[in-house]
Amino acid sequence: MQSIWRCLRGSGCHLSKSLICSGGKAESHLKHFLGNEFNLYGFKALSSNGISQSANSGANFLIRSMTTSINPETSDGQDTSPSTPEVVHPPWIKFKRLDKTARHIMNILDKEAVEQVRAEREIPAIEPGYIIQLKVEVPENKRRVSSLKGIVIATRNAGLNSTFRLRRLVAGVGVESVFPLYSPNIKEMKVLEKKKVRRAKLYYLRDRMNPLKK
Amino acid sequence: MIQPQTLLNVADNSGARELMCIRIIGAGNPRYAHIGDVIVAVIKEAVPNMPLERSEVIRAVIVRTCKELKRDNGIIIRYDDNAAVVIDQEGNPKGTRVFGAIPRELRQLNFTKIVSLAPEVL
Repeated sequence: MQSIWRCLRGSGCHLSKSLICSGGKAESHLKHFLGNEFNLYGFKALSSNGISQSANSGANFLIRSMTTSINPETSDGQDTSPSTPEVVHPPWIKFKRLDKTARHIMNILDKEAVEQVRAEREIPAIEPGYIIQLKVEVPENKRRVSSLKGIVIATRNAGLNSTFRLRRLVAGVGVESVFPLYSPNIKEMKVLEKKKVRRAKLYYLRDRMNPLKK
Repeated sequence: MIQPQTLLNVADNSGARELMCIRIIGAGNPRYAHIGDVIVAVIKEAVPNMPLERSEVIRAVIVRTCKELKRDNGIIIRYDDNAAVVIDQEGNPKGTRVFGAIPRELRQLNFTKIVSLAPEVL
């Protein structure tokens, strides 16, 4: 058992310790890899016939990746494993490349912001071809809520910055407006009708619905 | 993005039908004019028996462009045509009625008379 520790310790991967601990339950560990924290106490449950299995499987799992606990910002809890009877390693936290970590964190922040807005307001699903009625609050106009009605000709999905393009006829002039989907100025959104379209972007309507074109 | 040689519709009842931009008013040799900018234009087409005639050089303010107008709250507005309202040296419109939608930005630029005549302020 100690020889296994030494040969894997030499490779420098501090995760090997915890992987050996849970080597007996390797398959289930891999399935829950992305969801759970590592079980550092599995060492105690390792049986004698599980040692030979762990020698091979542990070596397969020398994965150079970051720890995937639920909350990645507190992922430096790896060095808080109390009950290892072996040599105490110096706390070495290994992270992914900084730009990958940052992108991951930005994705999580984005999702949280979207959920927060969705919890406050009911925002229906918007696809191109829907006819929509909006109630928009205009702060310059002394907080008057104006109602707009038009057809959605394009949507752009970008997390919190998702936008949709609305085309309508205003006083005889065609106007297209791009609205952020999660804007606090949009007070209410209602889908009136759904037209069948075979495109994601309906820019051909500019030629067809243009009252000013001669 | 209006530049010299651009043809613009006229959004009021001053008598002109179509204008061609010949110059953009402003310091620093502006390349393009946007909504709210004053241009010097020549009348290319006019309604008969009105005070304004063809090939007269007048000033106009741009009220609608096909180029998008971006606002600080993330809303972007794009019209289907380029249009202007004929004004005089002080900035008052020469016509008495305005047609079509007018964006709200003209109010901050002291074209309040045009905004008040507009059937719809976007």
